Amino acid sequence: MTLAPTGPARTEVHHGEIDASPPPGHEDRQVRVVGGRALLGVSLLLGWVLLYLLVLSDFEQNHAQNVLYGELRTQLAEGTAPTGAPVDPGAPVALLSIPSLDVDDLVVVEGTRSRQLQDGPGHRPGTVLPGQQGVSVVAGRSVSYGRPFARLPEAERGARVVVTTAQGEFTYVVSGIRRDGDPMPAPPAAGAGRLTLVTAAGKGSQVSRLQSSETVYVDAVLSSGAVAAGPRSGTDPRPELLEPHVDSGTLAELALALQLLLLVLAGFAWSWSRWSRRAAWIAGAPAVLGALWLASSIGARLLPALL
Amino acid sequence: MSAARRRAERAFFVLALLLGTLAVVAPSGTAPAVAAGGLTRSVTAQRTFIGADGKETVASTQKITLRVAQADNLRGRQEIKVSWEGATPTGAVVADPNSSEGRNQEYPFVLLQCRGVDADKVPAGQARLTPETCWTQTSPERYLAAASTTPAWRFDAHATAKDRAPVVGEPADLPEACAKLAPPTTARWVPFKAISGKTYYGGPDPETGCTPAAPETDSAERGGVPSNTTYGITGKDGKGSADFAVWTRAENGSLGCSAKVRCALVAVPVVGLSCDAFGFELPAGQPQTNKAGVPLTEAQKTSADATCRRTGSYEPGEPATTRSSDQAVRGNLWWSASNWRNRITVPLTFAPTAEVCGAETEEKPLELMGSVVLNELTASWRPKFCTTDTLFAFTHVQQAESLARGLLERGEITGAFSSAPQPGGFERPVVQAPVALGGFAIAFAIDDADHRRRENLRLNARLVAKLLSASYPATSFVRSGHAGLGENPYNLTVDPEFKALNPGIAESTTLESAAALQVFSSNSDLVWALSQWIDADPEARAWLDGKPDPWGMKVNTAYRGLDLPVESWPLLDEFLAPQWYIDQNRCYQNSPTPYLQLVANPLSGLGPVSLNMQFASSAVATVCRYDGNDATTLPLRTEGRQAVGHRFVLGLVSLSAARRYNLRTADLQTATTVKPAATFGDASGRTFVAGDSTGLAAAAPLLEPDVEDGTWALDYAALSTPAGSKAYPGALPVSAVFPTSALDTATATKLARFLCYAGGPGQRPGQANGELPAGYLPITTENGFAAEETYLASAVVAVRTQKGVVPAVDADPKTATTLAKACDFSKAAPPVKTPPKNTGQAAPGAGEVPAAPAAVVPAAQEGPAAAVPAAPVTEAELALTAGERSSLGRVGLPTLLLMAAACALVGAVLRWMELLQAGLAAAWARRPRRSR
Repeated sequence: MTLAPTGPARTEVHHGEIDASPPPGHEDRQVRVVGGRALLGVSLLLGWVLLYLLVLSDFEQNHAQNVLYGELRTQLAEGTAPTGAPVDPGAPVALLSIPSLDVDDLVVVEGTRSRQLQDGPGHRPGTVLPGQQGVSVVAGRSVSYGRPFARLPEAERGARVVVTTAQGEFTYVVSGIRRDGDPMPAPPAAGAGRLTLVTAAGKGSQVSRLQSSETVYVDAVLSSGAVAAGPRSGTDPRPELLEPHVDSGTLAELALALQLLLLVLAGFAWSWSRWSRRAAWIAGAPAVLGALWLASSIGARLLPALL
Repeated sequence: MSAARRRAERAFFVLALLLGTLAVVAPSGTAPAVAAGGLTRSVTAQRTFIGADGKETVASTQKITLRVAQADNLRGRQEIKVSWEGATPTGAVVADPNSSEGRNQEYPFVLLQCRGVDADKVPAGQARLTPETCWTQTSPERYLAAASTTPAWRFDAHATAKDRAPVVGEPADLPEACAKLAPPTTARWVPFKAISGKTYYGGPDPETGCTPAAPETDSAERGGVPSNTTYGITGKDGKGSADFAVWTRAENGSLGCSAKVRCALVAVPVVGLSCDAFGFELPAGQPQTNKAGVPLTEAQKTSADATCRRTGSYEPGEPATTRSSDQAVRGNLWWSASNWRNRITVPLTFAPTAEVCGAETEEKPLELMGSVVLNELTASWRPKFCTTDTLFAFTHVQQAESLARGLLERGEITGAFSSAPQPGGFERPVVQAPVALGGFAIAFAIDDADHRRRENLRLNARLVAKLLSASYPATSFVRSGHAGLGENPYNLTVDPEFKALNPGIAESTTLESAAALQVFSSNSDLVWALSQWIDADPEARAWLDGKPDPWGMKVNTAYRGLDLPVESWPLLDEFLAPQWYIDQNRCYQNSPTPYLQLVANPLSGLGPVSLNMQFASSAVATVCRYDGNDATTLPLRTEGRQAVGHRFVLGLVSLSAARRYNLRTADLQTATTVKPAATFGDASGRTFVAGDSTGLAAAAPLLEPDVEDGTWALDYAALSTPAGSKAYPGALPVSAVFPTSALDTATATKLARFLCYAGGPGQRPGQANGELPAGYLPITTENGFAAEETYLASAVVAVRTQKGVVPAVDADPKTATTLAKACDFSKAAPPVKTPPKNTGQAAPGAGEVPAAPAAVVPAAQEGPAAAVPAAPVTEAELALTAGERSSLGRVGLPTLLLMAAACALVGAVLRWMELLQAGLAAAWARRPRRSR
């Protein structure tokens, strides 16, 4: 009887070339996985933009409104609220209520650029202040930042619009809604005032509300009691409300915000690999969120003012 | 765990990278594009020889730098300045570097316009740039043939083996017509590939129909554009320059460059062939052969090596003679690999032309008629208008201004561009708002006595009057036969007055093109302005009235006492050539015409004049060419293109056309302190002003509002005053004449928007569409046009409201509305004040701007509301709401939502495909079997 070999099999040296090529199909998979990740990343980014515009920006305007309300209340009490130019852009000028549309004590700020409409409805420079003789124009957003004027197209004739300024409380009555191509109303008679509220809206049903494609004007008339017009500022050189205004100042701020975000992300990535995961989350997540929010807020100024 | 962490790290890294790029890109978004578009490129070019021993020696090395003044927003026939340095000096120099003969120069710096993108990977829809997409006007520039087996180009070290064959590029099936031509021993074809896909071989003799060339070749006779291929001449210092005219598909359809079809300027510095006569660069076992396939002998190779190594038989800068130049360094080898590899490619982008308008508008474009002075302006504005949502499409029908004014008066057109006032004023209420300050210019292409192109010229009104009034006899039989011209000099070059002002120009008594100014026969305010200047000049007017100039030259009696201004220059001389000339010139015999009218030969329009000036074509129509047709119908022809070095043409063009086509323009005299009767030998005591922006800006204060006519006009009399002597006499404001009554609201709004554009973005100088092209002065307050701006604002309101208001040209800027307010289309137009009302109304209190955006009662009139009549304010009722639209708003959010969802779905599927597959498979397997 021969002895069968026992124990572990001996290592055999392989002569010849070794096939070192990656297994077939692997590369393909790699590309797919990376592509999938990239698309997921893009969808996350887009989701954030939507979340920011539709939800988070509301908080931002709420906060701004709170601060502005306090400021305006003090000024009204002291009698220092503006009655005419000059008014700094972004400074509060009036309180606006439209009871039928559930618009309650909104603070109107000066200026109709995207930056100012982030804080609340804006009074157009170059027009008289609300409550004064002549035409006053106030613009408000329809989609983002609390969408103060989203329901404006639903306004009905005869609805009341109440404005409070340093010169008193004025009750306007809605006289009509205009869109592009509708006839302009006659200029207000002597001693009367008109308030034109501007926003953007889509044509058609509720669903199309997200598609704010054209301007809508709601005229409200103050037939008596308007006070004399105060001095008016010059008009905005770029009065377009539905066109993006790209200026280098905003871009510079945006660049800084993005750089900050970059730094924070880099820090997060670093701490993720060095610290425990929990610590990284606790320290990093708020910072990332804050930087992202800042960048979004500044970036949103590049969007048309009425959106 | 570590895998997950690594994955997360990677994701963050990618995100950080993405945002980082954004941070870098975002601020640069508004950085002003390089406006001038000038760019510099350089290349190091080397010529090498490979000897019989296989050793490579460097024959020459040059670092060549190219500068191109503009490569963006180009327009057809525009000339761009190209300069270079570091190149080998050119020998066998020819007079005209644009001529086909230029190809035989040694070491020329070849400039070509080629279609395509010069890269290995070209974008879809674009061609790849090769020698075969480069334009040359003649066939010999792209076809070489030799009776020798060893012409130099066969031994190009950088060429492929295929390209070193005896015959390269020959069409596969030569047509019958080629059969009668003796086949050459060696030949190289570089066919031209047209944009249509057709290949034009050109070949040995395209005229015989052997293999035709592209239709645009040799089109001088047919009124096309001449060659732009430049065999640039490099000086002994290694520097050179050229003006390169670019063709769009309007000028050269086979080349087909446009805003969509990419093209490039290709500079090929000819450094000479790099030689490899012994075939070391060829693949082993494939020796070069002759046409019969027999390999070259050693003797042939040695001889080929010697031919290929030649470095030029001419000294640098030596003019070409009958001696032949060395093939190895000739310009016609621009396509050879040795030269082509050193090319510098400068991509050219063409501004979209108004062609884009046709396809994009459904509604009928607004038709505006008139001034040719605005040609370049509307060429820039039209594409901008029709591609901008808030603007509209319009067309500019170039027509006589007087006709346009007449049609407007009768209500047949809705808008006119005009400069001169309507005689007796408009009966219909109109605004005449200045939209541009352009002008006329006397362009010239003149060579000095030393055959160099002259860059400046001085003319006074009397010289221009002499040219226009047929007072130069031009030829001997006119001088001897025409009463009253016997004492006059033949032409400008021998006129002592011209010589005094412009020394250094060769005299010639036979140069007929120097006896007249090329003008156009159609009516135009350009001629009106020119004749105003002549009329207001004391010397010129006195001369036209019969007072001889200091040297005794008299006006042609037919023009004596001519009433100026005129809208088109009259042809009054009736002198017919003598009988012997009629007998001798068969073409003249067929239709005898007053001879000096043939010399003047006014052209049909401004376009032909500027074309003639750009390419130095004489319009003198006294040439008889017996071209084989029926001799009884032979027509007189124009002299055509003049030889470089002997050019002399002058013509009336607009300033903007002169800038676009890079025409040299004359400085015009404004004032003189020289005594009228005294002869003079130089230009001292006379003030000449160039037609640049300085001259135009100095003319701005001389624009006087004419209350009667409602226009602004240059005060020509003030030119001779010290204050006005710096003003360019050719300055000519062009107004948009728009009615202020009886137009429908849509049209009125369009016209008002046009004025608003003209008052705002339209006055920003630049090359891009929608900007103000060169040759116009922006009408802005900084340039001294405050009154015009004020008027423009009132004009906008008047046009918008259509109440028949005619704004006053002398309105007080303090009380008038501003342009920004008038152009706010989201509100009703502010009320406009008519001149009489303005004086009658009480001034609004405290100097405040009254009543915008709609009539607000001034504070001073506060009182019971009912007591104030609302009459003036109800007028604005007709105005319509001008809303804004935003395509971003329409598609923005829903698209974002959909994109986010789609990305998430696709991303998830891609990412977890295995899981998904496994899950599906499991689900499938777990499915209860319900068999049977």
